[in-house]
Amino acid sequence: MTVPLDSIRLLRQRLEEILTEQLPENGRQWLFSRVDRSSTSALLMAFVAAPRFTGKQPVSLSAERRQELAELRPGFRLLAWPLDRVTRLYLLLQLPLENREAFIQAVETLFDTAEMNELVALYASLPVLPYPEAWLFRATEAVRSNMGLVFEALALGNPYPSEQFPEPAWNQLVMKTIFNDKSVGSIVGLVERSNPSLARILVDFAHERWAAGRYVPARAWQMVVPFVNESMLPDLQRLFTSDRAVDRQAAALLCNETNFEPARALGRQFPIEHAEQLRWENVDTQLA
Amino acid sequence: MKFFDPHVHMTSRTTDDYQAMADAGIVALIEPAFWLGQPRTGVASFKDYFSSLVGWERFRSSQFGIKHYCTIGLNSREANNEALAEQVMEVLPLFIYKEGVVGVGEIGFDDQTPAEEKYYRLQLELAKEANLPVQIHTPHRDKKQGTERSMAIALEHGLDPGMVIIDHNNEETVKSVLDQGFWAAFTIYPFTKMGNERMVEVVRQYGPERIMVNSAADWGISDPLAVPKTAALMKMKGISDEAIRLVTYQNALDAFGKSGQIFEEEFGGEIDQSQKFNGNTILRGGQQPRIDKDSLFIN
Ligand SMILES: [Zn+2]
Repeated sequence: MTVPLDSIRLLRQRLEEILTEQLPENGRQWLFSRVDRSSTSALLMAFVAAPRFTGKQPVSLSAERRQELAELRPGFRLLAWPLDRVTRLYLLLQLPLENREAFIQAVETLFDTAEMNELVALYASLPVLPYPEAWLFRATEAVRSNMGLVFEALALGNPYPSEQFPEPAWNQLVMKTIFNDKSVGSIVGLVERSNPSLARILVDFAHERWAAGRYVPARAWQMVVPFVNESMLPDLQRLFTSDRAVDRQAAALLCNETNFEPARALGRQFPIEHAEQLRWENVDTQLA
Repeated sequence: MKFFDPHVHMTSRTTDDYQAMADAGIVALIEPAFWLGQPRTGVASFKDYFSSLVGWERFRSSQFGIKHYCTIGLNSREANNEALAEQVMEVLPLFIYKEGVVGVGEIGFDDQTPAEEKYYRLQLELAKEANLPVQIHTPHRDKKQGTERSMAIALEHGLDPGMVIIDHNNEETVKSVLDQGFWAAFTIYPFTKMGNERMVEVVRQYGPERIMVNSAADWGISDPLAVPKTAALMKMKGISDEAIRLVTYQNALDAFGKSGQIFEEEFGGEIDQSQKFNGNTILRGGQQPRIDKDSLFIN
């Protein structure tokens, strides 16, 4: 989705209030009186220098604030962001929002020279930047990153990829998450963006892992629900006889939610205790 | 004992070196920006190099529980390409304010040309403006003269000598450096710079105050364990534990700590909680898994 500029301006206003309340005295001084917010180069420098003045205390948000932010931009959360990251987002939103070319160029300069925490701030901010289509390549670069925090900033708890990624890039993101032993359940849009080719990739991957005596995170099977077919019955059988409880639970959930009758029948052969209390969220283990 | 190597070019080293350094007790290091063995041809190469110092190299180091800091600057050799030097000066401000950048460096003289002097002066001003320490490379040739000139120019620009670390000292330069209130760093580097037996004698003669030891290990025949080895030699030769601690750890921390960017409580492999919680496969628990090098099996 593209966030309307008015909402972005309103968000900037809210951030200013939050920072005014929560920055330490010298940080507030620096940001509101010493940084020239009308100069792009001064804003870029301030973006870089922010932690030197703001510290890294996590931002605190009242229930009302959280509600307000959720209305401005569904799926976007500032929860637990350190103050330097909040400040960096605020500074990004001071750049010339209406001038597409200038805005993109400024953000690209930051990407070009960013260290890890700056990259985290940039990727975590993507959902509220204008011109979302312009960041697509950068976003796929985060999926390629070897730096765990950078990958997470884009892949987990972030609505940008599910809204913007074409299917191959999306599938890559999901599989990289599994590969990196990160929590699949934290991907925004996991179920909605599920697709037959991802389901097939996951099944193939499971076969590889099983051959190596390893596991697939149980939560990942949720993506397969709409695509269960005849060829998967042996895999389901295998999950039901796994030595890990979470695998057996995932199999039970799968067989319960699928419309493919033979799989439902298979599920009835392996009754699970407290089946009615099973939830996908509870099989979200990061142990692979 | 724990050690701080305030001058080592990890970009040129392998991960095995990181592992050996961690095993030897090195908990933090500083990687100064320098030249890469051959001249760069465009500003983009500088950008990528600076980015790797604050990005990938820092991350790689963290996997071994070693805190990685750097100094950023235009080195003297490449200052001689003035057209390029101008462009580098333009991007420097975007890097020197980054987290974990503990100084402007390594800058100073190599051939002592007018271009070297020009960019040395400009970068001193940058350091003053940012309130950052300066790490000064002194030349191999005409060292004594070059060292004196570096200090005189720094004073001329109004820098506090307590914010300036003069590097690659030897028996000939150390007295004047200390007398004028600068920090004196010594590089333990086989064949071309100091050997560590000479270093022991320097500490015996001048005491541990404002003196620090580094390896300056790079792509040459050098030793990333020079700091812990020198500490061991000092111990054998009867230098006090406190003096060893000062010259192999504390003094570097105090000098570069003036950047406001060094937090001792972060030493020793403490990593970001979220990183620890959701480790990358490589990253699990924040550190590289150990390989048993004697084993025939590779798993
Ligand atoms: Zn060096």
